[in-house]
Amino acid sequence: MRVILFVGFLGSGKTSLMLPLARFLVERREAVDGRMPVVIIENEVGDVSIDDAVLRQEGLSVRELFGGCICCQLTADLTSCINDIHAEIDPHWVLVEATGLGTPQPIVSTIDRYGKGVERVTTLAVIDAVRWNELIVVVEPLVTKQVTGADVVAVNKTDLVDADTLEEVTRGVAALNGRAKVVRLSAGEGVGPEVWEKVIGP
Amino acid sequence: MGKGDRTVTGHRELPEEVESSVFSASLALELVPPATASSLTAALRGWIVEIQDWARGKGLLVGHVKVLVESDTGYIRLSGTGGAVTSNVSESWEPSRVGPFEVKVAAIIVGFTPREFEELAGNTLERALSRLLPER
Ligand SMILES: Nc1nc2c(ncn2[C@@H]2O[C@H](COP(=O)(O)OP(=O)(O)OP(=O)(O)O)[C@@H](O)[C@H]2O)c(=O)[nH]1
Ligand SMILES: [Mg+2]
Repeated sequence: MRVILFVGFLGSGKTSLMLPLARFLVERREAVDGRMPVVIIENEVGDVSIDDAVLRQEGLSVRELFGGCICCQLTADLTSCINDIHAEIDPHWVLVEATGLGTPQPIVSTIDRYGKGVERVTTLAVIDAVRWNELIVVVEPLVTKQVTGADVVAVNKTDLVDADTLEEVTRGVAALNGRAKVVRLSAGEGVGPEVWEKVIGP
Repeated sequence: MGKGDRTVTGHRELPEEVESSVFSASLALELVPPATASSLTAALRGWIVEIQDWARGKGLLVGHVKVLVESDTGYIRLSGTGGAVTSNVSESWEPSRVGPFEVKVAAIIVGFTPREFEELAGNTLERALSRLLPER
């Protein structure tokens, strides 16, 4: 199983991007061997789960973890969830959505250490291009950790900002993490397969 | 308000980086007479706007305020991150009246939030939905 971990501040577009990525992975048809292509793990702030219902409406297989954060309180639950998925389904891909307040490093280290059947974890940080300038000031430590812990950074909502703002956001991201691939996209306008290929890598 | 189950929770989360307050609620409702999808959308949109305005007035950062209405026949999704509220109504629902439905809401506000937040979020939600019922 390959894992893609979605991090990014509240409302940045993680769920909105997870849907088309899941569809892309399903259509890629690695599933000729009969294995299910994609299973999703949703972790949400609060005691009601909204995103998992949105994803289920689209026919996706979703496990939910709520009532705490998988980067701190729910690490054991995350481990058993991944191990159950491996034992019961063993899909090609597991997409994990962290809460908007979660940081990637502890989640990746939990999966690396205890996740059975996981070949590789790719961390995708989703950035709301509209709110970057505000968030990098108001919640700077959190956003910094989300970006520096990412393998790929998706600068999202490009449909809502002008070219100069987009440049500024991209520069800000690159200054924090020069190692990550940076893609600019809009979940609102749709994401092409070449962008998803870049996100998932070889 | 209509009949149905109701769970409402409010609590503070304190992950290592950011303090935040969360109001979440899940209600199973049937409005009699039933509301239209557009009036239900407008009422819930109003709830998001009220919360965002309140947060702005207190100098607090809106994390995400989101709503999902679901029934056997369709859904409404609404979301706000401080500015314009986006909505998405399933095509099957656009023109029709909504039978029994479940509404789930979550409002996450960043920063030190006064206790009044949870009460305010609950009361404004109740008021928004009550307005859909005929005057008694
Ligand atoms: N215009 C526009 N809106 C977007 C885009 N991506 C997401 N949105 C909207 O932004 C809001 C938040 O999107 P979500 O996908 O729910 O964000 P999230 O990161 O999953 O939010 P949480 O799980 O609550 O942290 C929704 O109203 C989306 O419709 C985009 O590219 N363009
Ligand atoms: Mg989400």
